[in-house]
Amino acid sequence: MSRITFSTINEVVQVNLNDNYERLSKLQEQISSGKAINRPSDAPIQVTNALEMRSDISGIQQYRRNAEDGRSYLGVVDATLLNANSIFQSMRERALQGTSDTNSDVERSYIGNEVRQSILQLLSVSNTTYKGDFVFSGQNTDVQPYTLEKGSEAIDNVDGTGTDTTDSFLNNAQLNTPIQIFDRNSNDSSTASGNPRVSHILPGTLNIPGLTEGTDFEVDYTGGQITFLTQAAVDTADTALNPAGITMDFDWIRRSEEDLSQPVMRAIDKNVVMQVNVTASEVFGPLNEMDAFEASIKLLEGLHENDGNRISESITDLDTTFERFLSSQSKVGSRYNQIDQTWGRQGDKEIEATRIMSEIEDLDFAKAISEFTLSESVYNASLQSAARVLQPSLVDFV
Amino acid sequence: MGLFGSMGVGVRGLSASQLALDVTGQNISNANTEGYSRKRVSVSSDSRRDSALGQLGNGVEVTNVERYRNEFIDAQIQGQMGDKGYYTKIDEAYERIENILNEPSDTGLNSFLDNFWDSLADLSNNPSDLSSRESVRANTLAMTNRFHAVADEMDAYRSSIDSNLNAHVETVNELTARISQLNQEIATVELGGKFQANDSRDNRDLALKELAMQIPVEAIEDASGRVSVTSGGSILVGPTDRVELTLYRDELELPDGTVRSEMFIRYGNLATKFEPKGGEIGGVFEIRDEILKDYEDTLDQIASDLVTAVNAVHVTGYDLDEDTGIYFFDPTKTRAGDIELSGDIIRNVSNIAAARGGQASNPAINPVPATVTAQGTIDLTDTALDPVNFDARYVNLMEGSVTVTLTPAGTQLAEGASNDYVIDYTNGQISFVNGTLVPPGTTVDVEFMYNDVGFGGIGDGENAVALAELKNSLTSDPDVEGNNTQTLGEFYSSFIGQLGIDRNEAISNMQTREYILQQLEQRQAEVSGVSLDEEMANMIKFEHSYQAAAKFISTIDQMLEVLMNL
Repeated sequence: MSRITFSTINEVVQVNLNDNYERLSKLQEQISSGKAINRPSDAPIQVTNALEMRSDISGIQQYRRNAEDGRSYLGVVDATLLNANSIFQSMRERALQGTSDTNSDVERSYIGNEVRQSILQLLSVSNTTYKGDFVFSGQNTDVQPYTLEKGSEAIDNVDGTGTDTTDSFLNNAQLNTPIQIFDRNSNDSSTASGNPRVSHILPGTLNIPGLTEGTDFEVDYTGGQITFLTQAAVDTADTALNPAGITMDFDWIRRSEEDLSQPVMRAIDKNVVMQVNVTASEVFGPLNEMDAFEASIKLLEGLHENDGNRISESITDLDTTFERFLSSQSKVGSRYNQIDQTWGRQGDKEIEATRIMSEIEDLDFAKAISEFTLSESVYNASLQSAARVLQPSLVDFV
Repeated sequence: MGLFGSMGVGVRGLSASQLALDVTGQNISNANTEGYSRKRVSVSSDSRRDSALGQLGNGVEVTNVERYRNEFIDAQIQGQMGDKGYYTKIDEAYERIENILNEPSDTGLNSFLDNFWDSLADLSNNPSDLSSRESVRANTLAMTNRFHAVADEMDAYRSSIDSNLNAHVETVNELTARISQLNQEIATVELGGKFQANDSRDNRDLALKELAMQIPVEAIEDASGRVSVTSGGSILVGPTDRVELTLYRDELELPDGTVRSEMFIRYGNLATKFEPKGGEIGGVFEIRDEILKDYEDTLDQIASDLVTAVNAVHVTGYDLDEDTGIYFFDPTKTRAGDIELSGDIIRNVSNIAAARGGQASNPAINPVPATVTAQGTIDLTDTALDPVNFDARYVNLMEGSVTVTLTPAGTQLAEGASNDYVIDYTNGQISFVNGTLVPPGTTVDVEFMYNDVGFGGIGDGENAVALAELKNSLTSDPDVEGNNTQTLGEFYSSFIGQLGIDRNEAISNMQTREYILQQLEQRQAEVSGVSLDEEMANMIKFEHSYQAAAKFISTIDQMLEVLMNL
């Protein structure tokens, strides 16, 4: 039989009380923090999983944000293209209307005014921005694709190369002979006014002071040639007679020379990047080829000069442009759908991952509280029994 | 014998009972003294030779005051104390490390890393937006600050245990001094072999137990009652002398320029190190030299992997000013304690290289042979260099891809203003500064890579996408062939998991030792513990026997009186 002393009982009681209290305090920590694991030693493997799940969730959330941004971008582009489409439709209707030779030149000029307005609208559409970036400029987001410029050229040095000729062409000018004024394909944008592409000069805006278009001179915009019709006009333009020279003003549409063809991408999922833009080249037309504005200007020219053939020709070009719009729209549409689907899927993934993480980290309150209640009653019982055992000793009875 | 003799018997009985009561009183008073073993008076009956009856009693004789103690259990306790002290210290360390790292939580490093990757992804959606760039800088600063804080706290912990070591060593020296002194006391008292120095032994056993918690000890008692204490083969307390331990501190400079302090204990006057493998002191050394060091090194590794991976991608990208070759993190600071954004980015967030441009490409023939011009330069954008294969895009040289070798000698030249050449990335030119080695007219071979698109525009966020994707790339934990096997996040989370496992191991070891110690202490208490009930009962017994002895004396006294009154 082993010998039990008071100090032995005391030791045992203290140790057991401490153990009970430790259990109670652990449960209390869990309940008050709401988490089943508060430090790595609580459940090492679970903690590793929990940390990885947290990273996964934050990754999914980021992909969702990217997808939303891409979706808004595509939304803006889509709406813009719709707008451009309707402008173009109305332009085409005008073209059909103007083709008929039953129109008088006055009627054609009224139609021409409407078309001019449509062109300017199209211009502002091409310069749509999203968050301050031009949506059709690819990665050069601070570059405006199309700008309306005021150009001017001095009459005495219009041999197309920009160099001063000692002999003004007008000295050799002849009445009713077309004179080349602009090189069709040179598009020098390094100078302020540049040598504009003739195809982008807005008909009806060419102005030579003192002379009237139609009466004194005629312009073939497509060919880049000016023909003087009256001797008086030739005289005005002759620098020998007017040493100060005169300048002609016009409005033209400049297409930026910068590279606007880069794709803008968004990372919407692991190893999945999606293009969210369409470039100006895709929508309006490549840099040195026939683009939407050239087609519209061709139409405007025809209306301006009361030339039915010209108008019919322009319809073909308008149709080509229209094709581009449609194909861009379908690209945008399909990209939008794909991003939308991915975005939805990411949402489901996020919910599932959060649920899994909650299972790992969060506390099962019902279980914890019932354990706590049990531990509490065990603790109370041990306290009471300790009190009863520790008190009596022989000293009380002697 | 006579009546006076009988009275003597009575008196002896009285004094024996009185002594027994004294010892009982001693026991009762010391019931709660730590290390106290209960004492009992051992008595034997005294006898004398009687001619008529052979042997007759002569009263009671107190032979000894005995001490009830189980020496074997004491030795076992000493053994376990060392382990308990060791694991207690180790558990403390792991608990502290857990607190410092503070995972899983929103303020742990994992969370800051996630925010850092997210801010890079947001940048890829808005590359030209200055506020997105500010956000990248802010999130990176928050993350590097957290790295610094963790490293600093680990350092502070190391300093605090270093200063505690002093206290531990002092304690050991004090205890060995006490044991040595008690040795002398016991030897003196027990010199005749007759008596026991009970209280000194109790004190010595207590001192040995406390010493065993600090370092693992073995105590061997010799014939004279002195105890020799050895630890790990070194004698700390001998029969006549003892050895002091001293703590030394050494500052070691590591190859990367940081200073690490080494502490060690010197044994006596010798230069030999005293390296306890157990006990609290052993635990402290294990913590500072192995455990803390491992954790600090792993954190440094994580910081270094991050810096290397991010810089490698960032340096090939373009910033808002169309510059390339910019580092994101300062490449000279790769430890957790000093990881830092590069000066370029701290100064101006436009320097964050979010734009990719194109792909890294090799020139059509690589290397390109060239001749140093009269000005000491080579212009890679000069068509005369390579009329057949020339490409204007050569101007977009990629940082770190250029090597220049002399032909036909084949010696490679070194880049740098103090070496052989410098590179002008904006214009695609190489200028030779070492006129003696590379004079004008020398032929060289230039190997390089160029970006096939160059700067794409301020809306180009592809490099930021690549940076954000580093979160999912294998950047850490190289295998035997040097290929990385884990992402940064995986490496970090398994590191935290390991911390949890290590701590649980320490806790379970500690709890096992505690339990064993409890059992041993209880068994020792069975033998040497004071039971108040027992003492009370004994007290009554001795009181009665005192009364009886006194009664005997008064009886003898009455008998004497009868004689006197004859």
